[in-house]
Amino acid sequence: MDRTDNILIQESLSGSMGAFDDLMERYQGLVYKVALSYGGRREHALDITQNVFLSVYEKLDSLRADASFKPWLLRITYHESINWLRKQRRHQDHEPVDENAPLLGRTHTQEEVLLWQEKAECLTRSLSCLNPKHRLAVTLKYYEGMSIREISGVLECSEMMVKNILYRSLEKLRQRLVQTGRVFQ
Amino acid sequence: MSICSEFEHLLEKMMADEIAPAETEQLRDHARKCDHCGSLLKLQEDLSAAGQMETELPSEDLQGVRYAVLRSIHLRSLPSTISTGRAGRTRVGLARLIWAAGLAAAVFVGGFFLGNFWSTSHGDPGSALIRQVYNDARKEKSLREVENSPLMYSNVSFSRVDDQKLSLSFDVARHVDLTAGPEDPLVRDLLIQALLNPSPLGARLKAISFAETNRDPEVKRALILSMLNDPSVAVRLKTESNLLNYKNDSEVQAAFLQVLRKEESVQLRLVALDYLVGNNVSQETLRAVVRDLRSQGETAVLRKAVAYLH
Repeated sequence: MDRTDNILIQESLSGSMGAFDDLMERYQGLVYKVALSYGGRREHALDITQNVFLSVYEKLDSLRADASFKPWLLRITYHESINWLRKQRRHQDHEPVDENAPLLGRTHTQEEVLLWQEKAECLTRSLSCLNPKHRLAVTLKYYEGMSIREISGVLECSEMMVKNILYRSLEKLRQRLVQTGRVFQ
Repeated sequence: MSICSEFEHLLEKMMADEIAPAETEQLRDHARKCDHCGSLLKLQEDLSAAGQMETELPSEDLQGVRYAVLRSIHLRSLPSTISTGRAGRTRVGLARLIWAAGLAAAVFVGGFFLGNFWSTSHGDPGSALIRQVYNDARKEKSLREVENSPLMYSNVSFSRVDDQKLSLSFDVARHVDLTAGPEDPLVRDLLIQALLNPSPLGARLKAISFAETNRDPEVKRALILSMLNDPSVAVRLKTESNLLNYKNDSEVQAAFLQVLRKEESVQLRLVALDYLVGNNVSQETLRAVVRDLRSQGETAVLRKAVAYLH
């Protein structure tokens, strides 16, 4: 009974709320994690996630029949995250990302990696120095394990460009970590 | 091409998982000799490892997000003249009153919005609401009168637009008492809102009881959403019990299949199974259910489903 995205989309378009709920359940983790990389906090990421799914429902009938759902969803997630960031700036109540603060929502149970966890969280926080598009590429590559080809589909650019974005992001992150005295040995 | 440029090329190949073993050796060899490239390689490896750490998902919050989305979609589709719940709360920019009027909406709190005012108003109910809000605010009132105003504001938030303007966001409600026939569209709307909007547990349970006599298809859909999403198992059980009255209904069948797949309560799943078997569910669907239950390590429901198959 594991229905494909296309089946769930067709059923959603026919008015099945259950199918749309299934679709949301399938991708809520992905959307939340990408939103978290922009929102920085759990409650912000949840707000963005809600906006994403409302937007998805409104635009679902514009998704081409031969188009893949996941890249389309990620593009909407990206745009909703950007909109959210803009609104935060406009209302001047955006709390700047504290790169020393613990990252809410990330935990790990194995004791032997607790020290590493601190380093990993610091790295994740440092992603805020990247521009939104580069941050998305890094998040999809390293945190979602997506291939260069898949990322190029989301960003709607060439694979060569994705590689270049990733390299430049790495360079920017390195500079950031050097500036803040957090280069890991 | 300089050695560092060559390193950049190889690192890009590594990021794309296209690097050959000999090239990896070449890349590591250079990284050992060059601090700059060495730190880039280390960063790439740290990011790969950081990305593999599990992110704990706030499952309950995400379920709440899905519920809010479904509720918002559902309320938008209602044919009433005034709609939207919390997702479309009244947002009033002081300098953008006219624009805001088109978006304005009200949330009902145990009653019916603005009573007679609405019934006599011929304009946009959003504009009427905002006029009412402003007229009330402009009256000379004591602290006690403001506190006891017939218009109740809740869920209030402020944010600054610029030096001259504030953006206000709030729910507005007014309690009224009236009588209506069981088939009155108002009864339908109130039942749906009681089921889908945040309301006390007792109010939700009572709404489900009254929904038994109302066969409006939208009420049925509200019951389905409640059965699938309400956080209280007592409410989900009661809505499920109510939906058992819908015989051979494809929407209800689909909802019961979802209960079998997702519901945590064994009791709800057993009832769903009984309903499906009693309402001509196909053997093929039943076999798929058994496969799902088996993959989930289910026991009680699986035994019953297998018994039905045989």
